[in-house]
Amino acid sequence: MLHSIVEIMTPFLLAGLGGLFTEGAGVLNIGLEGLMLIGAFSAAAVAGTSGNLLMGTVAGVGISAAAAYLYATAALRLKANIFIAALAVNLLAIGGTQIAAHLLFGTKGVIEFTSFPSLPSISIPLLSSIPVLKGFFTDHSLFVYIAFLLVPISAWLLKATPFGMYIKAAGLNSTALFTRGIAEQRIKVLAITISGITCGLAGASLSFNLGAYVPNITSGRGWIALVAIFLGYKRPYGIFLVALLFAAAELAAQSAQGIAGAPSSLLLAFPFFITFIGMIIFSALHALLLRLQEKNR
Amino acid sequence: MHDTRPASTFLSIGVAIAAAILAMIVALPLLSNSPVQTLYSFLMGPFRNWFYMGNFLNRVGLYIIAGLAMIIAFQGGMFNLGGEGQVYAGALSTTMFLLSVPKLIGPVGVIGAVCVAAGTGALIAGLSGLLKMKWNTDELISSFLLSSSLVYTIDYLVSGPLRNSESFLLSSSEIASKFRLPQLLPPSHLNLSLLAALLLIGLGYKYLFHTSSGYELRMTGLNREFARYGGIPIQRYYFIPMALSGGLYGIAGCLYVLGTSFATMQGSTSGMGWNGIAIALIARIHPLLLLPAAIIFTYLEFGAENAMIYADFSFEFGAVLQAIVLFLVTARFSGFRVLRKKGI
Repeated sequence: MLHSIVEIMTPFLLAGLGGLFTEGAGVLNIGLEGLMLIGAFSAAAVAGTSGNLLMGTVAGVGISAAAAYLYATAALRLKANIFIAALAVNLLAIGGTQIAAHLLFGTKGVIEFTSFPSLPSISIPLLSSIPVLKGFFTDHSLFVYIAFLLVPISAWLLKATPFGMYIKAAGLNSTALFTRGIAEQRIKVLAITISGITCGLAGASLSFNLGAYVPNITSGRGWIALVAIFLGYKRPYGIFLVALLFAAAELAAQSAQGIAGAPSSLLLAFPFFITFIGMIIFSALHALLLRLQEKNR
Repeated sequence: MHDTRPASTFLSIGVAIAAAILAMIVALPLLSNSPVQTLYSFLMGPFRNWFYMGNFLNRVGLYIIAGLAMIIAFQGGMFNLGGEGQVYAGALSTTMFLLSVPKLIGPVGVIGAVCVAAGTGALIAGLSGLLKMKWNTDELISSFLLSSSLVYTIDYLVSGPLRNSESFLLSSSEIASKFRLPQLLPPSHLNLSLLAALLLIGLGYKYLFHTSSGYELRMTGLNREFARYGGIPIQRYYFIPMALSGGLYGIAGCLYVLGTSFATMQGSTSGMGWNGIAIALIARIHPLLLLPAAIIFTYLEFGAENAMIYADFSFEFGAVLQAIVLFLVTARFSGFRVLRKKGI
């Protein structure tokens, strides 16, 4: 069971960690969903036609990162509203992948490739023999381990490096950056591009797990990742825990469907709903905590 | 909302629209086997005959209401990303209400349905506003999440428990003919809802610029701190713009059922929520510019849809169009403090 939870949580974790960089830089990146979709399509298209997973991954990450860079630069340079620009990314991802699918593969439905390379599973030698933890380290794809590794890496990057400080400054106090001669905009563009990279990885992992491309394969995962950032208290380890929790809830819903025979169309609503509820509970608790702190002061 | 450089911003919006049309003129023939036909039907869109014109105007009316919904949210400094779900819920609540009161006389039923739909939309969006007010929950995310879960739930209801088993469509049963709005240009869909939309423009303008609540809403949207300092009860202006916005989206869904579809069909209102955002931005979040903005946007969408008939396949062109318009129109938003303060 833990094995499936870990598989489900990986895209949340990847996109959430990328979104954490933009969040730190003071930009709520609602474009995660679209970037992930662009990544999933590009990765599937290239891997499916070339038969090479690495090339597919590079394409997914590259194109998603390029899209992120373009939208961030366009929005910030032209002083556009970043939400509207990100919304446009999401909408363009839906329509654009559909058009591209038609032009390249002659279909706007599911794209099945005759020889899609299968994703190799790897077990980590020592860790996979520890009783409880072994579910995290046995028979997973490389994407899962990359996601795991990115947790401490992003914690370190954000906490202990000058780059992390610049990101923080871009979000909190842009004059501080200015006095050090660093352009706030460039930091923000960089942060959004990082989220493009991780969303590309997340998208690639989704397509590769299926061995095909399905329209709207991301189905809201980018938004859930966005919420996971808040619920994880804007910390990499927090995002890890929340992603784990959401994945467990999703798995529970899937098995509930199997037992109770809930209609599969209703199941599509479930991740959004549970994320919504999770968000409410979190903000209520957070508000309560703030009030208590104020009282104690 | 006074812009210091009206000429230049109008110019840039003109450029944005021209660029959008140009993008379509380039893109559409590429996707089609008969470029000339495609281009002709794109540009001539609504003007080919009265039937097309009627359907075009009908859609303009619905989009005006969706645009107004977003204008009020934007003016209040709130981001309502839940339009899709609010329109759909408005449509479903209208249908369910009218199916449950078959004995009511026509006009009473219609008024009741509008109230029910407006209430439903206001409740959904208002919840996000309330959460923002109480616990500082980001309304942008919460409205989107709630709306998405509603869209899928209603999709399920309409294709399952509430489905009309006699229809081959994924649709609920139809409302009684006495509740349907008078048609203005049969056999097209044009009906009384266009006039309702024009009336709502007037009401929206009146509210925003000639009532104290509208003034407070705009001031809060411009600068929350300043508004608080001026004695405006800013807490309630997390809720009011959202509830009004959701209510209007609900009405858009209601009028769609009353005048156009007569039932809730799966996915039939899809796109209206996002279009509302695009149109509100083209209108520079001002109600009096809604009519031209809605006409321009609908012309583009309608033309693109008609052009697709001549392509060897069809797909939702709406999303691409929305994206193009949002990208281009947004570029000149630097003057809009209401929107800017939430972003960079």
